[in-house]
Amino acid sequence: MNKQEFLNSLEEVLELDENTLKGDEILMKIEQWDSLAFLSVIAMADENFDIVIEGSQLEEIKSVADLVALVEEHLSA
Amino acid sequence: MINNPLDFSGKRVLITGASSGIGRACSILLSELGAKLVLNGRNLDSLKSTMSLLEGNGHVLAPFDMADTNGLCDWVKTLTKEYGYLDSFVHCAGIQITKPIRMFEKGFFDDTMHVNLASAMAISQGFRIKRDRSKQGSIVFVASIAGLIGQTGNTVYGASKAGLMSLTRGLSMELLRDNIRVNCVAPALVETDMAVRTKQSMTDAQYQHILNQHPMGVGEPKDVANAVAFLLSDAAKWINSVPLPVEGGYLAN
Repeated sequence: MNKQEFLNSLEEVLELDENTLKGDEILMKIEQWDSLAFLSVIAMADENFDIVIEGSQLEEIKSVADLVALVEEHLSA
Repeated sequence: MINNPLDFSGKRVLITGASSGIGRACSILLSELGAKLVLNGRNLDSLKSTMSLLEGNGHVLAPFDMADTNGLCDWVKTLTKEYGYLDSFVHCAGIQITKPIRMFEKGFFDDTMHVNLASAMAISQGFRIKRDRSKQGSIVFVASIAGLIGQTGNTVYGASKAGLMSLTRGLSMELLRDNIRVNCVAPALVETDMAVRTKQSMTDAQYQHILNQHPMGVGEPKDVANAVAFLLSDAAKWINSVPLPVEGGYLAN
């Protein structure tokens, strides 16, 4: 999975139209970002990258770029 | 000697999910009560760790993957051929993955249902065929309060555990002629590896909300093992088809 595919997966989780995320969005400003989106991102990271994002870690994440940084080493070019 | 209805001496019990958590606690307690155990799990090293904690001897290890639904009945038949008839069966094996509906897909559904639910049916199928019907047999499934209440992101797990409760009712009637009782326990949150993973899958505030719903705090694996041992034993010989909540007052809250 490359960065664009990750953003597309994120769009699916957030139920956004395809290619609407640019990567610099603030999560709290996305209308669809809520507690269920939280749970979904954690499940997605676990399933796709075998990464356990701990809940406390996720509280530090403010933007889509922070999410990308978290999984970056697992993304292909 | 005083008759002890919780005495499991001379009884052979199959325990699935014995490598950790509630399954491990059930294994330890039942061995202390005199049972000879057949320990099942996926991870051989973890099963050996459970084995090292048991009282008595004559226990055996029987790793097998609960996801292999079609192989389970024959696996149980092989066990009875190798180790003798089973008197009881405790089904602790289970998986839980927190996934809101937007993440729903067939593979996730199938995995959860096969490991948590279909395996219970398939093992019961093998257990029923190969046993000494002159003795009362007993089965206890480890369900969950998730099968009784609604929990966000835990719907499929809850459905599998509600399914186990339904299986309990159906099999308790179907297996009357086989002299087998079928009951289940429904624990709330218990301090296990599964609980650690649940904690990791949510924010601290979300986990604290769950903790706040437990009036007596979260349970210990042994709290559930005590209830399982009771339902499995002759002390419960006239108790059938019961879903016993083991939840420190969770449901009264």
